[in-house]
Amino acid sequence: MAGSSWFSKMVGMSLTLDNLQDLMVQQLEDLYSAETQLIDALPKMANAAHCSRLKAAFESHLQETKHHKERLERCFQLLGQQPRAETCDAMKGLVSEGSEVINATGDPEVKDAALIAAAQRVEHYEIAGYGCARTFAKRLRRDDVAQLLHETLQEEANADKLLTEIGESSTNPAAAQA
Amino acid sequence: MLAQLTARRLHRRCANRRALNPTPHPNTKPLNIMAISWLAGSEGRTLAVENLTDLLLAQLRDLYDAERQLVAGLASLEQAANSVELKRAAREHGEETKRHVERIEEACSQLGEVPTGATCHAVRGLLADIETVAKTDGDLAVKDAALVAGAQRVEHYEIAAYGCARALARRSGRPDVAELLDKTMGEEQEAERKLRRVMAGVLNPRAAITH
Repeated sequence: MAGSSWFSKMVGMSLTLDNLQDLMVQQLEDLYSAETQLIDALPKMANAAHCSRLKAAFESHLQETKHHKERLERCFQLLGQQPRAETCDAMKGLVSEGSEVINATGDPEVKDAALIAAAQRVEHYEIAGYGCARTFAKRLRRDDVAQLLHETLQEEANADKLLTEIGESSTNPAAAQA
Repeated sequence: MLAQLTARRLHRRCANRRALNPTPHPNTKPLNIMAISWLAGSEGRTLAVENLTDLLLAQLRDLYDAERQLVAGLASLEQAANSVELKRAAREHGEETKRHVERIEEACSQLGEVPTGATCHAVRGLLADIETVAKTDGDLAVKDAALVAGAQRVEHYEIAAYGCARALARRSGRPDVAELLDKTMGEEQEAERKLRRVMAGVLNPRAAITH
């Protein structure tokens, strides 16, 4: 993933840093790719989870993630743009870290703790990405787009909090016995 | 129970030794997360997670490499930035980052381990993006905004990682380690808030003056 994630892609597409609209659209494309990859990854993480609360959290976040992808499609529509088919390499790297945890051997509860560590890195990548995209949309006076991004940002932040809570109250206490 | 614990410790000690030895004994199976962590960036081997302390150490090693990369990365960010506020934020966080490196060294030493051995590929990729922005021409404010967007991703990576490591330290009965991580966590969160203010200033200089 080194050297070829979100911004390198933008330069590769010969965009320039001449206007904020380009930068915002690029951030949305990066997030679109991230959400698409997550729709593939979350069922595998749910399968790999040992703790039933963690499994349920991954499953319900999968449903949210499908909505997030639709919201991004709505943003592109509002901006009169088509999302380009490109890959967010940073997310690819984070998801591949998650895959290594899925295939890990060892204590199932410790593995749950490792799954949470991988998933929270993903959530925070999205929180940073949506936060920046929302700021750009507001600055460009695209409140319609900013509102959609805000809704997703809230859900990502809640997903992150839920993972912390599951870690602290369920998986980590169980893993400490390993 | 005691015998079990001792056996596990011995098992782990052997695993540690294997991790240091490039040619493992033919009868040993791959075990230790520190040598084969997803965070250690070793490809083609199966991750094994046996206990919380091993997972904590893997997280600390990942963060150690991330912080060390960032000391250089923040210096480049300072150079590339146009906004005085962004330059200052990068410089100040660069100084803090040096202390974060030392804190991880201290945390690992309290655990009787060394923090070296891992490569944080995520931060490497994120810093490569910042480097690419730095080399790109364009409107200075938009370029600063792109730099902040890159820096925000790095901060959030660290917030997620420190949050997990702190929880693991607490749960492993290591409040001393948790306290060190908590200090850094607070500084990372403050750095993230500062970046948001810098972004507001970069995008709307007039608004920044009145706030």
